[in-house]
Amino acid sequence: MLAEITHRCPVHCLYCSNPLALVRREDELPTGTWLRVLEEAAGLGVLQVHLSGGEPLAHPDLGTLVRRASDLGLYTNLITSGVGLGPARAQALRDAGLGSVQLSVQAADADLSRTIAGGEFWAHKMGAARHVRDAGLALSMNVVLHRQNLHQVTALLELAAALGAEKVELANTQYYGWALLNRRHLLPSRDALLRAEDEVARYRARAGTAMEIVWVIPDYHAEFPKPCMNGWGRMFLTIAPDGTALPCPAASVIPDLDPPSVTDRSIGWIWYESRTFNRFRGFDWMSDPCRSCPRRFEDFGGCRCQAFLLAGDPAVTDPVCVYSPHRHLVTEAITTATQDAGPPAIYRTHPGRPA
Amino acid sequence: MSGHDPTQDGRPKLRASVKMRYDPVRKRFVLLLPEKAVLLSETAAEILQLCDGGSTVAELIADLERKYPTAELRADVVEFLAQAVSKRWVEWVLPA
Repeated sequence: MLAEITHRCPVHCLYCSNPLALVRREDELPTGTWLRVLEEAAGLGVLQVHLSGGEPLAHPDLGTLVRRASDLGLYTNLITSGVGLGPARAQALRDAGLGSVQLSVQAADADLSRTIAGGEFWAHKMGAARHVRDAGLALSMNVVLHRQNLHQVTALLELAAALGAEKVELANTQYYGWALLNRRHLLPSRDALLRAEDEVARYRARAGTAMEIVWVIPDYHAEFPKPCMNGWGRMFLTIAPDGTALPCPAASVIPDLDPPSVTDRSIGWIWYESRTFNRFRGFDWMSDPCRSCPRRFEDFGGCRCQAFLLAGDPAVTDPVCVYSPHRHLVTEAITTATQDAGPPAIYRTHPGRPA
Repeated sequence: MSGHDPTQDGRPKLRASVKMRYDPVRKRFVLLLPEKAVLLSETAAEILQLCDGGSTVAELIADLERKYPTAELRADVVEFLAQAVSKRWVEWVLPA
């Protein structure tokens, strides 16, 4: 379960995956409701809770939520920009039962970090990594990759190793939310991508398995879609800051989804009974080419949000797929982006705050 | 370190970021790691419960053999621990 406890965030990443319309602070769930949600989730068999946002450290009751989740036997993982993670807070979260920390890093140096994140966050991040390790917490470094930082792949891997990360996730940008808005500035060329893949392979050969390296495929450049969320309503549940329950964090873009809310429904009802979670569950909703394709058991038809965002219909095959009649939309996006980036990139803005 | 065999004097211990518990929903022991959950077999859970950093492999096997007196366990346990280390579930605590 992904618990997006707030959309508040100090950082302005060009590739932000949160929806364009963010939940305002006054519409955030009360902590008491989150505590009930955690209890229901544990009862249902949820094993892991990812506390995310926005920036989860911006939530004053984060420690209380970690403590309750941990008491319920849920493994808790903090997904953070690192801004606001001092030594005392890291230790307190560890004492509350936090299992691991995923720290986002935008680039391998302060200059490029400033360009991508839209502010001076580099020193905070480097400090946060140290405090996480000093508190005895497992550190994972996450980097969203795109045209502006792909050339730094080796330096990023060296940085992760120097920070003492057990794991580094190199996640090529997925085009939702703010990232779709800036797609022309982020989509890399195939050549840049192949060079980066080659650098990762060479680093792996040189450094061995001391640090786990996860390479998240750039789906626009792939032949087949990603198994998005490992299938709709199969393993994942997202709760947005206002209590909206979604099968995937990006799914609020699907216009007639009518998602349920934890404010008036139990997690059990949402998971098993709600129309939203059953809508694209299994294989019956599919049409061709997915319906008769043997790959449907591996990729579940790809991403419903991407089908809607690119082809205008959430029930068609993910346009990334070579068998999709909409594949040309992806190919054209790559061509456009690599020829002309268009107007300047736009930094993530937050409601009620200047950019 | 080269040539050192941790199964002689090392004490296996679950890594700090790894938690194990019984899951009443699945009626199985589960191992929880960052972004991963592993449903454990009964034997795997038995071995991992003894990985507390306090027992050597020999002591751990002696414990298991008290429970399963007929079995020849050493090879299987050593093989399982090697895999558990490479999967980052377990680390060796070595004598100073």
